[in-house]
Amino acid sequence: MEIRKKVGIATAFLIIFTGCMVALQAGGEEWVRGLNPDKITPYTKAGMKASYNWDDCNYGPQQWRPYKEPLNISDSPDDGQNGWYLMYVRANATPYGGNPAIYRRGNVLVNYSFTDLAGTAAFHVIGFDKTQKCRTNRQDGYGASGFFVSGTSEPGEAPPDSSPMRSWNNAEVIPAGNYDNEESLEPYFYFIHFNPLSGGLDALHITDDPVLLKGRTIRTIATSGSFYITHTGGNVIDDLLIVVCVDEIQPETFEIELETSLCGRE
Amino acid sequence: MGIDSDFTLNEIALMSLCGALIFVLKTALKLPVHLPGHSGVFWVIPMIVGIAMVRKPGSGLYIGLISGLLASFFGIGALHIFDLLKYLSIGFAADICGFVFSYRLDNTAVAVLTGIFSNLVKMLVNYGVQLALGVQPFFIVLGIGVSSISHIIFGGIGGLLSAYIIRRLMKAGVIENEGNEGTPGID
Repeated sequence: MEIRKKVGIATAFLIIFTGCMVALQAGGEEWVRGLNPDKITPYTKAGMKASYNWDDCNYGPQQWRPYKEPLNISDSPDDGQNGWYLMYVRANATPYGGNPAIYRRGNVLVNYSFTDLAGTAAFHVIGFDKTQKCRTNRQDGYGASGFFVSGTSEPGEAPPDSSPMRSWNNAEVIPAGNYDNEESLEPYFYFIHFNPLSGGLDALHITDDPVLLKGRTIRTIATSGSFYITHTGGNVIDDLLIVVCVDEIQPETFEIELETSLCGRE
Repeated sequence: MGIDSDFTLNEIALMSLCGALIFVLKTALKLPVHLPGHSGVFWVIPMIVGIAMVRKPGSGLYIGLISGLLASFFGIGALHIFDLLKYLSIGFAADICGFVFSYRLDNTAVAVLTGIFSNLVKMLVNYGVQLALGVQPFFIVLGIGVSSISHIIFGGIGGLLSAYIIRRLMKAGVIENEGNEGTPGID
Protein backbone atom coordinates (compact mmCIF):
# COMPACT_ATOMS: atom_id res chain seq x y z
CA MET A 1 0.00 0.00 0.00
CA GLU A 2 1.44 3.34 -0.96
CA ILE A 3 2.33 5.88 1.71
CA ARG A 4 -0.40 8.31 0.69
CA LYS A 5 -3.11 5.71 1.25
CA LYS A 6 -1.69 4.77 4.64
CA VAL A 7 -1.55 8.43 5.65
CA GLY A 8 -5.19 8.83 4.61
CA ILE A 9 -6.28 5.83 6.68
CA ALA A 10 -4.27 7.01 9.69
CA THR A 11 -5.75 10.52 9.42
CA ALA A 12 -9.27 9.10 9.23
CA PHE A 13 -8.57 6.97 12.29
CA LEU A 14 -7.26 10.03 14.09
CA ILE A 15 -10.38 12.06 13.29
CA ILE A 16 -12.65 9.26 14.51
CA PHE A 17 -10.59 8.87 17.70
CA THR A 18 -10.70 12.61 18.43
CA GLY A 19 -14.45 12.68 17.82
CA CYS A 20 -14.92 9.78 20.23
CA MET A 21 -12.86 11.52 22.92
CA VAL A 22 -14.78 14.79 22.56
CA ALA A 23 -18.05 12.83 22.69
CA LEU A 24 -16.80 11.00 25.78
CA GLN A 25 -16.05 14.31 27.47
CA ALA A 26 -19.46 15.74 26.55
CA GLY A 27 -21.18 12.57 27.76
CA GLY A 28 -19.04 12.59 30.90
CA GLU A 29 -20.16 16.08 31.78
CA GLU A 30 -23.78 14.93 31.59
CA TRP A 31 -22.95 11.82 33.59
CA VAL A 32 -21.27 13.81 36.36
CA ARG A 33 -24.24 16.19 36.55
CA GLY A 34 -26.53 13.22 37.08
CA LEU A 35 -24.44 11.67 39.85
CA ASN A 36 -25.92 11.58 43.31
CA PRO A 37 -23.80 14.01 45.39
CA ASP A 38 -23.59 11.36 48.11
CA LYS A 39 -21.75 9.08 45.68
CA ILE A 40 -19.04 11.66 45.07
CA THR A 41 -16.22 11.47 47.52
CA PRO A 42 -16.37 14.40 49.93
CA TYR A 43 -13.08 16.18 50.27
CA THR A 44 -12.96 15.83 54.00
CA LYS A 45 -12.22 13.53 56.84
CA ALA A 46 -14.49 12.28 59.55
CA GLY A 47 -14.68 15.27 61.88
CA MET A 48 -13.90 15.07 65.57
CA LYS A 49 -15.24 15.59 69.06
CA ALA A 50 -12.93 16.60 71.88
CA SER A 51 -12.69 18.68 75.03
CA TYR A 52 -9.95 21.14 75.81
CA ASN A 53 -9.10 22.99 78.97
CA TRP A 54 -7.08 25.96 80.07
CA ASP A 55 -3.77 24.11 79.77
CA ASP A 56 -4.37 23.65 76.05
CA CYS A 57 -3.90 27.37 75.41
CA ASN A 58 -0.34 27.04 74.22
CA TYR A 59 0.19 30.56 72.96
CA GLY A 60 -0.15 34.09 74.31
CA PRO A 61 -0.70 36.55 75.71
CA GLN A 62 -0.57 38.40 72.42
CA GLN A 63 -2.68 40.87 70.47
CA TRP A 64 -2.64 39.24 67.07
CA ARG A 65 -3.26 36.08 65.11
CA PRO A 66 -1.14 34.77 62.23
CA TYR A 67 -1.23 36.13 58.70
CA LYS A 68 1.27 37.88 56.41
CA GLU A 69 1.00 40.75 58.86
CA PRO A 70 -0.38 40.56 62.38
CA LEU A 71 -4.19 40.45 62.30
CA ASN A 72 -6.29 41.72 65.16
CA ILE A 73 -8.17 38.96 66.90
CA SER A 74 -11.21 41.13 67.54
CA ASP A 75 -12.52 44.24 65.83
CA SER A 76 -13.77 45.57 69.17
CA PRO A 77 -11.33 47.67 71.20
CA ASP A 78 -13.03 46.42 74.38
CA ASP A 79 -11.80 42.87 73.77
CA GLY A 80 -8.38 41.55 74.60
CA GLN A 81 -6.92 44.53 76.35
CA ASN A 82 -4.69 42.25 78.39
CA GLY A 83 -3.82 40.10 75.42
CA TRP A 84 -5.32 36.89 74.04
CA TYR A 85 -4.46 33.28 74.77
CA LEU A 86 -4.64 31.01 71.74
CA MET A 87 -5.13 27.32 71.12
CA TYR A 88 -5.06 25.62 67.72
CA VAL A 89 -7.49 22.76 67.33
CA ARG A 90 -7.35 20.28 64.46
CA ALA A 91 -10.78 20.25 62.83
CA ASN A 92 -10.18 16.90 61.09
CA ALA A 93 -12.66 18.07 58.46
CA THR A 94 -12.33 20.55 55.61
CA PRO A 95 -14.95 22.61 53.80
CA TYR A 96 -15.08 22.44 50.02
CA GLY A 97 -16.73 25.04 47.83
CA GLY A 98 -15.06 24.44 44.47
CA ASN A 99 -16.16 22.55 41.37
CA PRO A 100 -19.08 20.30 42.38
CA ALA A 101 -18.14 17.84 39.65
CA ILE A 102 -14.91 17.00 41.37
CA TYR A 103 -15.73 16.77 45.06
CA ARG A 104 -18.91 16.95 47.04
CA ARG A 105 -19.30 20.48 48.32
CA GLY A 106 -19.83 21.04 52.00
CA ASN A 107 -19.26 23.23 55.02
CA VAL A 108 -17.74 22.23 58.31
CA LEU A 109 -20.29 22.43 61.10
CA VAL A 110 -18.68 23.28 64.44
CA ASN A 111 -20.62 22.68 67.63
CA TYR A 112 -19.08 24.32 70.65
CA SER A 113 -19.86 24.31 74.34
CA PHE A 114 -18.00 26.37 76.93
CA THR A 115 -17.94 25.67 80.62
CA ASP A 116 -17.04 28.63 82.85
CA LEU A 117 -15.93 31.04 80.17
CA ALA A 118 -14.55 34.34 81.43
CA GLY A 119 -14.34 37.32 79.10
CA THR A 120 -14.60 36.83 75.35
CA ALA A 121 -13.74 33.83 73.23
CA ALA A 122 -13.05 34.27 69.53
CA PHE A 123 -13.05 31.61 66.81
CA HIS A 124 -10.98 31.94 63.65
CA VAL A 125 -9.76 29.41 61.09
CA ILE A 126 -6.52 28.64 59.32
CA GLY A 127 -6.62 26.28 56.34
CA PHE A 128 -3.74 24.58 54.57
CA ASP A 129 -3.92 23.91 50.85
CA LYS A 130 -2.15 21.04 49.11
CA THR A 131 1.01 23.10 48.76
CA GLN A 132 0.85 23.93 52.48
CA LYS A 133 0.06 27.58 51.86
CA CYS A 134 -2.33 28.96 54.46
CA ARG A 135 -5.70 30.66 54.18
CA THR A 136 -7.62 32.40 56.96
CA ASN A 137 -10.85 34.30 57.47
CA ARG A 138 -10.82 38.03 56.67
CA GLN A 139 -10.60 40.30 59.67
CA ASP A 140 -11.66 43.76 58.53
CA GLY A 141 -13.75 45.42 55.89
CA TYR A 142 -16.01 43.74 53.33
CA GLY A 143 -16.19 40.02 53.82
CA ALA A 144 -14.92 40.04 57.41
CA SER A 145 -16.05 37.07 59.46
CA GLY A 146 -15.50 35.63 62.89
CA PHE A 147 -17.37 34.15 65.82
CA PHE A 148 -17.26 35.72 69.30
CA VAL A 149 -18.75 34.35 72.51
CA SER A 150 -19.01 36.37 75.70
CA GLY A 151 -18.85 34.51 79.00
CA THR A 152 -19.94 35.59 82.47
CA SER A 153 -17.62 33.62 84.73
CA GLU A 154 -15.11 35.32 86.96
CA PRO A 155 -11.56 35.34 85.56
CA GLY A 156 -9.06 32.94 87.04
CA GLU A 157 -5.70 33.79 88.52
CA ALA A 158 -3.27 31.27 87.11
CA PRO A 159 -2.08 32.00 83.56
CA PRO A 160 -1.51 28.93 81.40
CA ASP A 161 1.93 27.59 80.62
CA SER A 162 2.10 29.51 77.36
CA SER A 163 4.27 31.97 75.51
CA PRO A 164 3.51 34.38 72.67
CA MET A 165 4.06 33.06 69.16
CA ARG A 166 7.45 34.07 67.85
CA SER A 167 6.10 35.28 64.51
CA TRP A 168 2.80 35.87 62.71
CA ASN A 169 4.05 34.16 59.56
CA ASN A 170 6.33 31.21 58.91
CA ALA A 171 5.82 29.88 62.41
CA GLU A 172 5.20 26.38 63.68
CA VAL A 173 2.34 25.76 66.08
CA ILE A 174 1.59 22.70 68.16
CA PRO A 175 -2.12 21.89 68.11
CA ALA A 176 -4.01 21.39 71.33
CA GLY A 177 -4.56 17.87 72.59
CA ASN A 178 -2.43 14.78 72.57
CA TYR A 179 -1.11 13.09 69.47
CA ASP A 180 0.66 9.79 69.31
CA ASN A 181 4.33 10.39 68.76
CA GLU A 182 7.28 8.16 69.06
CA GLU A 183 9.66 9.60 71.58
CA SER A 184 12.40 9.98 69.04
CA LEU A 185 10.28 12.12 66.75
CA GLU A 186 9.75 15.83 66.87
CA PRO A 187 6.47 17.01 68.43
CA TYR A 188 3.54 17.10 66.05
CA PHE A 189 3.28 20.62 64.67
CA TYR A 190 1.80 22.66 61.85
CA PHE A 191 3.86 25.17 59.94
CA ILE A 192 1.87 28.32 59.25
CA HIS A 193 2.97 29.90 56.00
CA PHE A 194 1.13 32.67 54.18
CA ASN A 195 2.73 33.28 50.82
CA PRO A 196 3.56 36.99 50.57
CA LEU A 197 2.96 36.92 46.81
CA SER A 198 -0.48 35.34 46.88
CA GLY A 199 -3.75 35.88 48.73
CA GLY A 200 -4.94 34.09 51.80
CA LEU A 201 -7.98 35.94 53.06
CA ASP A 202 -10.91 35.23 50.78
CA ALA A 203 -11.23 31.47 50.69
CA LEU A 204 -12.34 30.54 54.21
CA HIS A 205 -15.19 32.14 56.13
CA ILE A 206 -17.15 31.74 59.36
CA THR A 207 -20.91 32.04 59.32
CA ASP A 208 -23.94 31.08 61.35
CA ASP A 209 -26.10 30.83 58.25
CA PRO A 210 -24.92 28.39 55.57
CA VAL A 211 -26.70 30.48 52.94
CA LEU A 212 -24.27 33.32 53.67
CA LEU A 213 -21.24 31.53 52.33
CA LYS A 214 -18.99 34.58 52.55
CA GLY A 215 -19.60 34.68 56.28
CA ARG A 216 -20.08 37.48 58.77
CA THR A 217 -18.99 38.56 62.21
CA ILE A 218 -21.20 37.01 64.86
CA ARG A 219 -21.32 38.00 68.51
CA THR A 220 -23.27 35.93 70.99
CA ILE A 221 -23.65 35.26 74.70
CA ALA A 222 -24.68 31.66 74.09
CA THR A 223 -21.94 29.52 75.59
CA SER A 224 -23.20 26.54 73.56
CA GLY A 225 -24.03 26.74 69.92
CA SER A 226 -22.74 26.17 66.46
CA PHE A 227 -21.34 27.88 63.40
CA TYR A 228 -20.14 26.89 59.96
CA ILE A 229 -16.78 27.16 58.29
CA THR A 230 -17.23 27.70 54.56
CA HIS A 231 -14.96 27.65 51.53
CA THR A 232 -15.69 29.69 48.43
CA GLY A 233 -13.26 28.41 45.86
CA GLY A 234 -9.60 28.75 45.17
CA ASN A 235 -7.24 25.98 46.14
CA VAL A 236 -8.67 22.93 47.85
CA ILE A 237 -8.18 23.08 51.60
CA ASP A 238 -6.32 20.01 52.73
CA ASP A 239 -6.26 20.55 56.47
CA LEU A 240 -7.90 22.94 58.89
CA LEU A 241 -7.09 24.42 62.27
CA ILE A 242 -9.68 26.18 64.39
CA VAL A 243 -8.05 29.02 66.31
CA VAL A 244 -9.72 29.46 69.70
CA CYS A 245 -8.72 32.67 71.48
CA VAL A 246 -9.74 33.84 74.95
CA ASP A 247 -9.00 37.28 76.33
CA GLU A 248 -9.02 36.61 80.06
CA ILE A 249 -7.21 34.26 82.37
CA GLN A 250 -9.69 31.44 82.67
CA PRO A 251 -10.77 29.68 85.88
CA GLU A 252 -9.45 26.17 86.48
CA THR A 253 -12.85 24.74 85.68
CA PHE A 254 -12.80 26.25 82.17
CA GLU A 255 -13.47 23.76 79.40
CA ILE A 256 -14.46 23.92 75.78
CA GLU A 257 -16.01 21.00 73.95
CA LEU A 258 -15.75 21.07 70.17
CA GLU A 259 -17.39 18.80 67.63
CA THR A 260 -16.83 19.11 63.89
CA SER A 261 -18.54 17.37 61.00
CA LEU A 262 -19.09 17.87 57.28
CA CYS A 263 -22.42 19.35 56.37
CA GLY A 264 -23.12 18.86 52.67
CA ARG A 265 -24.45 21.69 50.56
CA GLU A 266 -26.10 21.86 47.18
CA MET B 1 12.35 -6.84 1.54
CA GLY B 2 13.76 -8.23 4.78
CA ILE B 3 14.34 -6.21 7.87
CA ASP B 4 17.50 -6.64 9.87
CA SER B 5 16.41 -6.78 13.49
CA ASP B 6 19.81 -6.96 15.20
CA PHE B 7 21.19 -3.68 16.49
CA THR B 8 24.82 -2.81 15.97
CA LEU B 9 26.86 -1.26 18.72
CA ASN B 10 26.66 2.14 16.99
CA GLU B 11 22.89 1.89 16.77
CA ILE B 12 22.58 0.96 20.44
CA ALA B 13 24.76 3.94 21.37
CA LEU B 14 22.68 6.23 19.14
CA MET B 15 19.36 5.00 20.56
CA SER B 16 20.67 5.33 24.11
CA LEU B 17 21.64 8.91 23.40
CA CYS B 18 18.19 9.62 21.95
CA GLY B 19 16.55 8.06 25.02
CA ALA B 20 18.74 10.14 27.30
CA LEU B 21 17.96 13.24 25.24
CA ILE B 22 14.23 12.72 25.78
CA PHE B 23 14.85 12.62 29.51
CA VAL B 24 17.10 15.69 29.39
CA LEU B 25 14.60 17.67 27.30
CA LYS B 26 11.77 16.74 29.65
CA THR B 27 13.84 17.84 32.62
CA ALA B 28 15.54 20.93 31.22
CA LEU B 29 12.77 22.44 29.10
CA LYS B 30 9.97 23.41 31.39
CA LEU B 31 7.63 25.41 29.20
CA PRO B 32 5.17 27.64 31.06
CA VAL B 33 2.32 26.23 28.98
CA HIS B 34 -0.29 24.73 31.24
CA LEU B 35 -1.81 22.50 28.61
CA PRO B 36 -1.78 18.71 28.69
CA GLY B 37 0.66 17.11 26.27
CA HIS B 38 2.70 20.23 25.57
CA SER B 39 5.97 18.43 26.24
CA GLY B 40 5.23 16.41 23.10
CA VAL B 41 6.59 19.36 21.12
CA PHE B 42 10.12 18.36 22.02
CA TRP B 43 10.23 14.81 23.35
CA VAL B 44 8.94 13.24 20.10
CA ILE B 45 11.90 14.72 18.20
CA PRO B 46 14.67 12.42 19.55
CA MET B 47 12.27 9.50 19.32
CA ILE B 48 11.40 10.05 15.65
CA VAL B 49 14.90 11.07 14.61
CA GLY B 50 16.34 8.02 16.40
CA ILE B 51 13.92 5.67 14.65
CA ALA B 52 14.58 7.38 11.31
CA MET B 53 18.32 6.84 11.73
CA VAL B 54 18.18 3.21 12.87
CA ARG B 55 15.16 2.04 10.86
CA LYS B 56 14.71 -1.25 12.66
CA PRO B 57 11.74 -2.64 14.59
CA GLY B 58 12.27 -2.24 18.32
CA SER B 59 14.30 0.96 17.99
CA GLY B 60 11.46 3.07 19.41
CA LEU B 61 10.90 0.56 22.18
CA TYR B 62 14.59 0.71 23.10
CA ILE B 63 14.61 4.54 23.11
CA GLY B 64 11.45 4.47 25.24
CA LEU B 65 13.04 1.99 27.63
CA ILE B 66 16.10 4.20 28.19
CA SER B 67 14.09 7.39 28.69
CA GLY B 68 11.56 5.53 30.88
CA LEU B 69 14.27 4.06 33.09
CA LEU B 70 15.85 7.48 33.53
CA ALA B 71 12.50 9.15 34.21
CA SER B 72 11.51 6.47 36.74
CA PHE B 73 14.89 6.47 38.43
CA PHE B 74 14.99 10.24 38.81
CA GLY B 75 11.27 10.50 39.52
CA ILE B 76 10.56 13.41 37.18
CA GLY B 77 6.94 12.41 36.67
CA ALA B 78 4.12 11.93 39.11
CA LEU B 79 3.84 8.24 38.26
CA HIS B 80 7.45 7.35 39.18
CA ILE B 81 8.00 3.64 38.40
CA PHE B 82 4.90 3.61 36.20
CA ASP B 83 6.55 6.24 34.00
CA LEU B 84 8.43 3.33 32.52
CA LEU B 85 5.17 2.02 31.07
CA LYS B 86 4.42 5.44 29.61
CA TYR B 87 7.76 5.78 27.85
CA LEU B 88 7.72 2.19 26.65
CA SER B 89 4.30 2.74 25.15
CA ILE B 90 5.35 5.87 23.26
CA GLY B 91 8.34 4.01 21.90
CA PHE B 92 6.09 1.14 20.88
CA ALA B 93 3.63 3.50 19.17
CA ALA B 94 6.43 5.27 17.27
CA ASP B 95 7.83 1.88 16.32
CA ILE B 96 4.50 0.74 14.91
CA CYS B 97 4.16 3.98 12.92
CA GLY B 98 7.71 3.65 11.59
CA PHE B 99 7.11 0.07 10.53
CA VAL B 100 3.70 0.74 8.95
CA PHE B 101 5.04 3.72 7.00
CA SER B 102 8.22 1.85 5.98
CA TYR B 103 10.40 4.23 8.00
CA ARG B 104 9.66 7.17 5.64
CA LEU B 105 9.86 9.55 8.57
CA ASP B 106 11.36 12.25 6.37
CA ASN B 107 7.88 12.54 4.89
CA THR B 108 6.16 15.41 6.71
CA ALA B 109 2.76 13.70 6.94
CA VAL B 110 4.29 10.48 8.28
CA ALA B 111 6.41 12.28 10.89
CA VAL B 112 3.44 14.40 12.00
CA LEU B 113 1.23 11.30 12.35
CA THR B 114 3.97 9.48 14.25
CA GLY B 115 4.31 12.43 16.65
CA ILE B 116 0.55 12.58 17.13
CA PHE B 117 0.08 8.86 17.71
CA SER B 118 3.01 8.67 20.13
CA ASN B 119 1.71 11.62 22.14
CA LEU B 120 -1.82 10.20 22.17
CA VAL B 121 -0.66 6.78 23.30
CA LYS B 122 1.28 8.49 26.09
CA MET B 123 -1.93 10.22 27.15
CA LEU B 124 -3.94 7.00 27.11
CA VAL B 125 -1.36 5.04 29.09
CA ASN B 126 -1.09 7.91 31.54
CA TYR B 127 -4.84 7.88 32.12
CA GLY B 128 -4.88 4.08 32.25
CA VAL B 129 -2.28 4.01 35.01
CA GLN B 130 -4.10 6.74 36.91
CA LEU B 131 -7.36 4.80 36.73
CA ALA B 132 -5.58 1.65 37.87
CA LEU B 133 -4.17 3.58 40.81
CA GLY B 134 -7.64 4.65 41.90
CA VAL B 135 -8.09 8.14 40.44
CA GLN B 136 -11.79 8.75 40.07
CA PRO B 137 -12.96 8.44 36.45
CA PHE B 138 -14.66 11.84 36.26
CA PHE B 139 -11.31 13.56 36.79
CA ILE B 140 -10.22 12.04 33.50
CA VAL B 141 -13.47 11.99 31.56
CA LEU B 142 -14.14 15.70 32.16
CA GLY B 143 -11.00 16.72 30.30
CA ILE B 144 -10.30 13.91 27.87
CA GLY B 145 -11.65 15.70 24.77
CA VAL B 146 -9.63 18.86 25.29
CA SER B 147 -6.62 16.81 26.34
CA SER B 148 -6.80 14.69 23.17
CA ILE B 149 -6.88 17.78 20.98
CA SER B 150 -3.92 19.39 22.76
CA HIS B 151 -1.94 16.13 22.56
CA ILE B 152 -2.65 15.98 18.84
CA ILE B 153 -1.55 19.58 18.28
CA PHE B 154 1.67 19.34 20.29
CA GLY B 155 2.57 15.86 19.02
CA GLY B 156 1.97 17.10 15.47
CA ILE B 157 4.24 20.11 15.96
CA GLY B 158 6.95 17.82 17.34
CA GLY B 159 6.54 15.52 14.34
CA LEU B 160 6.78 18.48 11.97
CA LEU B 161 10.06 19.59 13.54
CA SER B 162 11.33 16.00 13.38
CA ALA B 163 10.64 15.78 9.64
CA TYR B 164 12.55 18.99 9.09
CA ILE B 165 15.51 17.76 11.16
CA ILE B 166 15.52 14.37 9.40
CA ARG B 167 15.53 16.03 5.96
CA ARG B 168 18.41 18.30 7.02
CA LEU B 169 20.31 15.26 8.29
CA MET B 170 19.66 13.50 4.99
CA LYS B 171 20.88 16.51 3.07
CA ALA B 172 24.01 16.57 5.22
CA GLY B 173 24.54 12.87 4.55
CA VAL B 174 24.13 11.76 8.16
CA ILE B 175 21.11 9.66 7.15
CA GLU B 176 21.20 7.98 3.77
CA ASN B 177 18.52 9.33 1.45
CA GLU B 178 17.59 6.38 -0.70
CA GLY B 179 14.04 5.65 0.23
CA ASN B 180 13.82 2.23 1.85
CA GLU B 181 16.40 0.59 -0.29
CA GLY B 182 19.98 0.61 0.68
CA THR B 183 19.22 2.30 3.98
CA PRO B 184 20.68 0.88 7.16
CA GLY B 185 18.72 -2.01 8.58
CA ILE B 186 16.55 -2.63 5.54
CA ASP B 187 17.72 -5.13 2.97
